[in-house]
Amino acid sequence: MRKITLLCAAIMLLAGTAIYAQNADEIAKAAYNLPDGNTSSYTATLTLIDKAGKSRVREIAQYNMKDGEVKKGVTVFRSPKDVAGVSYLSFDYPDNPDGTAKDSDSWLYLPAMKKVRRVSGSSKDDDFQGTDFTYDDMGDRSVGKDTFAILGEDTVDGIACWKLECTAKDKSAKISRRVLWVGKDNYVTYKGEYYDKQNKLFKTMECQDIVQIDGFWTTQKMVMTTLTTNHKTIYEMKDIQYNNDINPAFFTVSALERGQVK
Amino acid sequence: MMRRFLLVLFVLFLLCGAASAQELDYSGSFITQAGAGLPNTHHNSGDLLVGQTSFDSTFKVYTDETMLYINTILLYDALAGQSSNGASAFVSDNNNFSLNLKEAYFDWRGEKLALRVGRQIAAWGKADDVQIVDILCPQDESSLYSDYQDNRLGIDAVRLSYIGESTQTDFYWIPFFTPSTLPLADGNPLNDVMFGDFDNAPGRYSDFDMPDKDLASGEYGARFSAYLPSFDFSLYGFYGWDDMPFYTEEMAGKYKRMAMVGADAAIPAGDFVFRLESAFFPQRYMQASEGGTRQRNQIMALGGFDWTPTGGWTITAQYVADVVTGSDSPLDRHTYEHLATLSVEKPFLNETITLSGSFAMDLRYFSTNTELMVEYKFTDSITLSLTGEFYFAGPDKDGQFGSYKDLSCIILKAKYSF
Repeated sequence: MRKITLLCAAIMLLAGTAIYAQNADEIAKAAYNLPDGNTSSYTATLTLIDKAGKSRVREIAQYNMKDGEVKKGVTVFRSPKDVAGVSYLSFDYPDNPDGTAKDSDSWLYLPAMKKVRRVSGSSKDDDFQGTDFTYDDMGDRSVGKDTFAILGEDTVDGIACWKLECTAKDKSAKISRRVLWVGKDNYVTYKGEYYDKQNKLFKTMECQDIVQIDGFWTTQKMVMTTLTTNHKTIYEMKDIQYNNDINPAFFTVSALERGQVK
Repeated sequence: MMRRFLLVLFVLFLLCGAASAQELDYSGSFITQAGAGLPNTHHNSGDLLVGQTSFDSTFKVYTDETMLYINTILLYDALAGQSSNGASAFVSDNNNFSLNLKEAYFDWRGEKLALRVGRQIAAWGKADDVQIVDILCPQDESSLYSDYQDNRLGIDAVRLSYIGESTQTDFYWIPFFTPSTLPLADGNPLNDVMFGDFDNAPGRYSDFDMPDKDLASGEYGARFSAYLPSFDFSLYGFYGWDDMPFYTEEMAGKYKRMAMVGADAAIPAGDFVFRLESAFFPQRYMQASEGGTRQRNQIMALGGFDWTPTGGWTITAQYVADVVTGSDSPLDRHTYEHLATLSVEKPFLNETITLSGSFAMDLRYFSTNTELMVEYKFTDSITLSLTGEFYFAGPDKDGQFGSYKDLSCIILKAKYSF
């Protein structure tokens, strides 16, 4: 009798894991593929606050366009003035057929150098311009970079969420594990916890001012806090537009070099 | 009277332009820096080798498809080391002040065609701080401690571009020749290195035999660039003048014609971007040891990589080879010269502090140049930096960097950006 109970428990556990794994992948893909229009644009203010309360501010303009399955994006710095005009063009591709992430094509324009430089499109694990966000946090981290599991269910400000665990396939990644609170109804991320290689809580993310604009779910404010340094970055978006008329020429190296995107 | 009238007309033009424009952007920087010779620099030990205060301002006026761009620099040099090349800057008689019209052009872009007319800076090539195909714009050779990119001088040119989805083709016509700026002022520490051995060294740009100002003396350039998913590549062609003069035995300087065809590529692979660049100069004039020139075919080539491992590190390495055909006698160089460079940069404390170092070695005589810098962002507007520039001669001969060994110095710099 005890053997049968153990066998049943093992079968249920395996079945449960299989169901959770399948659902976790689906949730991750749904969160990644959250509709955001064929084009979009916004400006964002990033306020960096150190542990002493001293703040620094960066302002960027962002333009996005879908070209078939390729996601094209241009980021232009407007301030601080010593980096104003620095622009970053990126083409993000769908994952490879084997599920691994495909490197982006990326170019950087530095006005002081007067030329566009091809940059590596593989490492997006680094901090974005001294902020607490990485390049991956700023964009859509490819689904192929992680494995997923559901840790359970929870609520954030009364909203029912899945607790989705995303474990980096790259064992050398600075952030080895992320736990995201993903809305059950809309697949929007409401909160996040980021763990380092020692599985120690490294930084936290709070998402605020989540609204629908032109029918698209939009997170207008994010606060990322690095616990080890007590440094945080507040990311606030404004002038958000979807399916707007953006010149396709913006998404070319030529436009970067001419300072056409501003 | 005429000058005042022109000045008023220019100011009115700017004001009218700004008023009718859709958008006006004004930005710039104020920089002050001082540097002193290190203890191993013999007669320069403890001497001030850098003492400059500059005000850099940029206007951009945008209308629908057009941009007007003007960049000027007003500079005070406490060492009276400023000199003119007759084209890029107005320099006061005492060599203390210079007013540099670095760029002034308008840029128009249509759907497929684009036009840029006026004084402009264009950077060719994939190399870092090494001149191979990057010969369109001359360099300010009077400044040893400035960045390579800051030393580019504007050229008065017309650029017509054809723009594809992932390609760009540029054609340049440069009717007026702009030479490199040389350290002709006595107060410039480089003057002694470049001309110290000569009694009859040139003192002004007008001492040089310049190309005629006529249509036949124009320069022409072309570039085709493609930006593809797997790699970028460019092809280049240039027919014009060498930006540096050649000297007779009596130190009379004259500029010579030159031609170049070249190519480059940048290939991303994981955390690396590999860079290749090469140029062929047919029958290029070369300086002869005893004065005068000889003509030789020359090939220059570069291979290198940028490596950006996680953690904010940026590591760049390059190898450069420079080969001329035929005998090196009586040339003022060897038939095969080569160079290796390495640079490392790492930001700390959310990019408040950046440490960087760059190292270059000429592989024939093993002379070296090392630059170490710490940069601190005091606020978003104010940046302070401390730089050490070290030049060492090779074990047997001075080599490429050894001639600057008495100019090793430490520089303190403050920059305010607005």
